[in-house]
Amino acid sequence: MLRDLSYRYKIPLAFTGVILLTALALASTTAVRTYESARSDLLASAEGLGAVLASALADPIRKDAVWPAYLSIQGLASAEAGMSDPLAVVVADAQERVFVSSRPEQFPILARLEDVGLVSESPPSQVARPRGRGPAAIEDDAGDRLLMVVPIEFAGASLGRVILIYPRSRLLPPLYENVRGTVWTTVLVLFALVPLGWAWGSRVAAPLVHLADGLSKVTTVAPEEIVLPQIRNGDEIGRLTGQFRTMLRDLQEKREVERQMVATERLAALGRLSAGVAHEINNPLGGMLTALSTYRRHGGREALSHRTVSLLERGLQQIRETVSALLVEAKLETHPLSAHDIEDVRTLVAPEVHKKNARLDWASEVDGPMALPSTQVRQVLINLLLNAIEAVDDGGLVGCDIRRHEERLRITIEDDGNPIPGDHVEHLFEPFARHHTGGSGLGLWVTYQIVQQFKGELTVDSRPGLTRFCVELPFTSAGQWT
Amino acid sequence: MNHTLRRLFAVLCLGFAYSTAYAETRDPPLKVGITAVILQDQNEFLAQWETHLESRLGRDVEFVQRGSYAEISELLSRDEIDIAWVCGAPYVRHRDRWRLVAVPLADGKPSYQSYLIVRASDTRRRSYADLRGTVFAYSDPDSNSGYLVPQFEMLKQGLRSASLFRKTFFTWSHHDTVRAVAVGLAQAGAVDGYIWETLARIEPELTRETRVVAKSDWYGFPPIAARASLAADDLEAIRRIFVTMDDSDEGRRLLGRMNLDGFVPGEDAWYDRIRQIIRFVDGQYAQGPQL
Repeated sequence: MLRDLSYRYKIPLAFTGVILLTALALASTTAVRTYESARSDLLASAEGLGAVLASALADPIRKDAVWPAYLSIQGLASAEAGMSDPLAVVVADAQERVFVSSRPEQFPILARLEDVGLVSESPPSQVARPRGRGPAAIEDDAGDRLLMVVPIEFAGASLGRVILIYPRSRLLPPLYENVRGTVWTTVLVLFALVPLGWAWGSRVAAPLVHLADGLSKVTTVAPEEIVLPQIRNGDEIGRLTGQFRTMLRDLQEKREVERQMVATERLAALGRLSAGVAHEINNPLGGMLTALSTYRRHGGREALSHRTVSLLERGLQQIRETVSALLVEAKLETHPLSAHDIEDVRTLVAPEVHKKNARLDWASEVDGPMALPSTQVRQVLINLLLNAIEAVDDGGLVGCDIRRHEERLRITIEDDGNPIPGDHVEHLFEPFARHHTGGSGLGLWVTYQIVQQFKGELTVDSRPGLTRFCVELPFTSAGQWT
Repeated sequence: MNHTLRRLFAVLCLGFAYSTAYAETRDPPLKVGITAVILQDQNEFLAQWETHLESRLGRDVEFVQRGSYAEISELLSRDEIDIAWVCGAPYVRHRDRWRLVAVPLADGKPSYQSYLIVRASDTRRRSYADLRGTVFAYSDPDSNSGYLVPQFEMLKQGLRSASLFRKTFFTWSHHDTVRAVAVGLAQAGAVDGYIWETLARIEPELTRETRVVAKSDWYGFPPIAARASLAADDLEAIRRIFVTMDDSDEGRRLLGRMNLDGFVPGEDAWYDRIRQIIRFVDGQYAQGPQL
């Protein structure tokens, strides 16, 4: 579950976790040190206390004065009456029995030390029976207490021992205080740093989240619609974003190429279909026209027949023209393209330009004959120019640029009329695809077919204020078209 | 340096001369020995009583306290003090050297009992016979109720302290005997019945920790005794002050504090019972045919 959590939360959580862990480590270290220091303080004061008691108790022990001895230790114990864990004082005689204690119920008079848990035989007999002659501090883990044992001596003889018994819980209050301090500090630090952690986490996670969102959209949304974070950093996230952006661009280009391929395939199929249909129509058409011509020469002279035949002839002629237009014929008798041909076209379109009050920017680099068929180039040029002139508004601008580019002729026709709507572009070069009135609907189809036949390229780029058709025709050897 | 010393010497001489002159104009203070037969650890009360006695007597009064009955007895026998409030047992032992001044009345009687007490939590023990192997607290070796009477009671039952108890110790005061039993330092103790009853009134939280197992016969209340050398008229004056203590408000107030009704001149015969048990106990411990 944690694994699925967003980095937006993971980073701040990790931040908080690090703070908590640090605080925990610090707290345990200081807690241990506090405990140790409280313990050594306690033992130091216990040793002093034990020494005072030992010297005060020597006389009562010698004289078996139980009550005065009790008063001495009772004074000490009652001085701590307010404490939750007062110390217990046991005075042992030389025979290791309780001489007197501040807690007679727990350590009754004459009880043997081992019977009241002050001497354990195993492991090593140690509690309250130190080896040396001086004071000794003893940890009684079983009883969870600290013992300070001070020998009572008089004139060099051992009379017994004073045993001060401190519950270990005595060491806890300073520990609690320390822990409480650490907890407060940690809380304060958390208060200060957690918002910082969240802010930093969000900052780090935001581009990742953005990228993840973008990636998840790749299959459902067009690449150009995916918005990526603006990151130019050289770090991993920056690199990732850069790579992703490149990938999107490649994807976009690939889609574009695919779309063009589909369009080209369709146009090629259309071309094959129309050529086939045109041939199938042309053959009987030729026969029909010949029959009609023969009939007119040898047949009846009556007016009705004449009119009917003429009507048939005109209809068939129109069919033939249309079919011929569809069936763009490469092998037309023609000559190499020359500057005259270009000028002819300019002259031909001039009336149309004039009619629209349009301006025609003309630039031509064609000087001598070129390795291109003049008829087809002229047809392409006229078709594109007439389209452009038609597209511009009154007083608009049409540009024509013809120049040699490496081993190609590049024709660029521009106009500032309304752009071609996006959904029309795809079917622009299909026959009868004109979306506005006028024209045969075959102009661009024929242009496209011609360009295809000469292995040239035809591209269109239409945007508000500028529509540009660009044709590139590679020079060819004359044998291909003469 | 010399100058300073000389001045110091002059001041000291003056002081000495003044105190001598003062002492000559007034009687020496009456020295009153106080023992644990009363609650002697109430300093404020003792100071008030001292003032009261001084005003009644017209002379300074000085209370003298010591650690044991024996010390006070010795001081009184050696004329170091003039009168003392002593226990009945020392009184009968020192009868030849002391004079009876007055006897207090507690609960209307010039007599009291010895109580055998155990811890309140000890509900099992009912008599000395039940105390075998325990730690026992006596008050003072010269005490009647805190030592002699329990000895007597045990001997009557054929018991002896040395073999009955595991250990015994003296607390040197009835108050402390109650404390020792209350905290469990001793499992049982013998205590002056009057002291226990008084403590039950002023320090009930202490006596609640103890339980009275047995009460003895009645014995003469600890009397006020005077040294034999005390002048007869002085003795009479002092006796009158005690006997008439309940005439004044302050006297009655102080008696109330002591949980006493007043003082009477008393009779030596009231202490015959103590004499009897002393003989009995001494006889029990005297080995052989010599007595």
